[in-house]
This record gives sequence, structure tokens and C-alpha cells, in this order.
Amino acid sequence: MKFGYLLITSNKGEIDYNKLAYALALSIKNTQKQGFDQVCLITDNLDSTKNFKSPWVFDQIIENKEYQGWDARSHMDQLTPFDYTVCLDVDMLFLNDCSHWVEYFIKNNNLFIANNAITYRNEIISEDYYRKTFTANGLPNLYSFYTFFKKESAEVIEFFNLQRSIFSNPIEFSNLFLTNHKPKVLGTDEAFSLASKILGHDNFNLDFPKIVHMKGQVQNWPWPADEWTDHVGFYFNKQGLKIGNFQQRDLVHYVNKNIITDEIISILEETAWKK
Amino acid sequence: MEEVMDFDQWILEHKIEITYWAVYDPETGKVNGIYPNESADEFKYKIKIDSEMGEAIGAGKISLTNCYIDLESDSLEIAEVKSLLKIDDVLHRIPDSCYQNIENPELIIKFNKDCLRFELSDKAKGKKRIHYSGDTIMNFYITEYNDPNQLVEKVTIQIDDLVRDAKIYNLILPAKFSIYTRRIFKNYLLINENN
Repeated sequence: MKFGYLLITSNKGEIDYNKLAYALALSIKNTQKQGFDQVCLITDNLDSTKNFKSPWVFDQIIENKEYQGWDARSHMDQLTPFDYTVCLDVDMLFLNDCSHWVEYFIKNNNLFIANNAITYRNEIISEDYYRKTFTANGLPNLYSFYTFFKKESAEVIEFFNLQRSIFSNPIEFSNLFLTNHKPKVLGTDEAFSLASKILGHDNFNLDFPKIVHMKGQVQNWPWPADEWTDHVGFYFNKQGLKIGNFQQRDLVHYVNKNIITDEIISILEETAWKK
Repeated sequence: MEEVMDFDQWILEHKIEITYWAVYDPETGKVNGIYPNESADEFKYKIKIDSEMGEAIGAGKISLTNCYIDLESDSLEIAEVKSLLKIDDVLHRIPDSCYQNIENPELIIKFNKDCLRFELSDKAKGKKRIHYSGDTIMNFYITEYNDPNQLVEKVTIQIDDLVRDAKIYNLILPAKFSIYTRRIFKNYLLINENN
């Protein structure tokens, strides 16, 4: 059995997604137990990975020129080198050992997509500001930022084939299945949720993984917030992460890509070197 | 047969570029008005501003009374006095020179052995126009590294005192610490000379 985390980046715009992936890989090495800390980076740009001080945090780096942008993530089942995979968005950080989640999934699931998002104050997110399509069309509230799958299981092959069809034919699927509220862009979350609904997957109702989802409008604040970083601070040091004055313990999806500075990277690197 | 013009295509091809000018008082730097194109020709003291800023001021999104021209900067720019809304304005972490290259900081803090030296840059001292009253109090919160929730020391300084001379404090501080403050100046910098 070979398990690992799969990080997929496409570096076309201004954001250096490989740097975010590097921070995430460092946080995995710093927190996950042996056997559950393998990381593979799939990237369309190998150049920027050569500047990392600790490239060893990536157990494998695979160049992918075939699939670009979000499209690459819809091929995660084909790109992974692992038997069991958790594919993550790269704008995330591990703060504690979550290996027990993976142990559970390996024993019990071929496919699992996260459906528990919480605020930085550990409140369940019920606001659907960014998810009108899900609410209006009765889609399961899935988040592709944490997707577990067993490679080549029949269930997984069927799911990803359908999801790729949805992704390749967004207008047709929107016209058929998302008539109550059509998304402006049919992204990975919508494609995963729609595929899941069509195939009748209903085994995603677990209390974990709990993921802190830092989108501004869903933090249960009584004011509008485009950027959460305008309203609360991100304080990361070797003792952990506080957002505002709340200590974070769960997997954090920080969304705002600018917060991963060279200083944050150096803190993560120092921890990794001393481990 | 007469060809019918596609209006949408025509309007795309005939986009009218507007150049916005900020007309200002050369003594105070205060912006007196925003003028489009040739309407600013009659004014001597003016700078070109980007259309986004011009439209924002025109639409009242940015108050004209908050706009100044920074006469000391090499390139003239609109200096908007913002209300304290963002966390970074209220609790600004003073960046460490190890990690950030801040150009022309107005306030520099140097840390050497156990001494913290606060000084205004020559540029900040030499400003003809200071937007802040001299008795404005600046609080500096010295905290555990990157965690303002854990206060170690607090230093309070009046701007007037800093204009006269640098202020030096002998403090017992942890090996790594951060300094936070309410953002009054645009740029601050912490230089750790022990590194």
C-alpha cells in the first residue's frame, strides 16, 4: 500500500503556485506521521521548483504539460503515482497530524470528498454566498480541496470519467442539471458535486475532515468581507497558527495566496530541518 | 445593398481614452480638483493620475478632501488618507529587513544588543507638510515573534520627540520578537543589527 498527498499546480498567472505547494509540503512533513507524509507535486513549470532550499519535501516531482489549469485537477486519478491519494488544493496548511483520517478512508472508502468546512472560530459554515448553485440545485456540498481516492477502483474510474465529461461540457450539463442557478464558471467543486449527485454517492457524511475555509463572506461576520486578511491577522510561528486570536488546529485553506511570504516559508523550513 | 453597422463592434473599436489630471496647491499638496483631458490645460500645478483613481474620486468613492500630492517622492502620486478599516492599519506588523525590502521607510527601528532605537528618516523629518499633529502618540507593541496576542513590552512615543531626536530604549527582549503598531506612516522598517 502506497499513500501520498498529490499537489497539482499550473503556473500561468502572477501567483507562484509551486511556492504555495512547497509551503504545504513542508507543513505535511512537519506534522504527518511516517508513512502518511509522502508528497507528489505535479507541475507544468519545473523551473521554479529548483530554487527551493528543501526540494526533498517533494518525494516526487512530475512534469505535466498535457493538462493545464483546473483541467489538470480533473485528471488527478490519472496523474497520481500513489495507490491511495489525497489530492489537496495547494493554498492549504497542515497544523496537526491528520493521518488517522487517511487510515479511516483507506479502510472504508474508495472515494471521499470533504464536506465539512468551518470558520476560523470553529463554526460550521452554513452561509451559501459562494455556493448558490449548490443550494438552488440540491447538490451535495462538496469541497474538492480535500479528495481521497483509491486508484483504479471501479467507483473512482466511473466518478472521474463522469466528472471529466461535466468539466468538458459545462453548458450542456448546466442546462440539464443546474437550471435553478447556473454557475458563471463550472469549476471543480461543481463538477465533483454534480457527478456525485448523478452517481448517487451519499457516503460523504462524516464529521471529518474539518477544514478551515478562509473565504471572507463565510466567516459569519456581520459585515461584508472580500478579503479576510483585511479583517483578521494571520500569525504564524513555530508554536502554530493563530488567525486573529484563535489558535488553529485543523487543516487551513487560507485562500489568500499573498500570505505565504518568504518569512512563512523560512519558519516552515526551520521546523522541517529540526524535525 | 447597404451594410448595417454592428453598433457593439463600433463602440468597442471607438473606446474614448480619458486622461485625468489632479490639480493641486503647490504649498500644501492638497488636491483641489480632478479634471479630464484638456480641461486641465489652464492649471500649472497638476499631475496625471490613472483613470481608475480619477473615476473613483469622480464617483465619490474616494473623498477629494483626503487626497494629497506627495511632493517629496520622486514620482508624484496621490496619497489618500484612509480611515482605519483594515487590520493592517490598526495592527501593523513592522516588517523585518531580512525578509522585506521596504523603500524609503518613514520610521526605522534598529535593534542592537538590548537597545531599540526609533528614528524618523531624513525624508520624514524634512517633510514640508506633515499630516499628523506633533502630539500624536505612537504605541509600539513588542510581542512574541509573529503573535500580537502575547505582549512583551509596550513603548509609547510622541511624533514631536522623534522629530527632534531618535529615541533609544534598553529592554529585555526575547531572541525573536515582532513589533506591531497603529499605522500612521506609510512605511516602517525593523532592522535587526544582531543578525
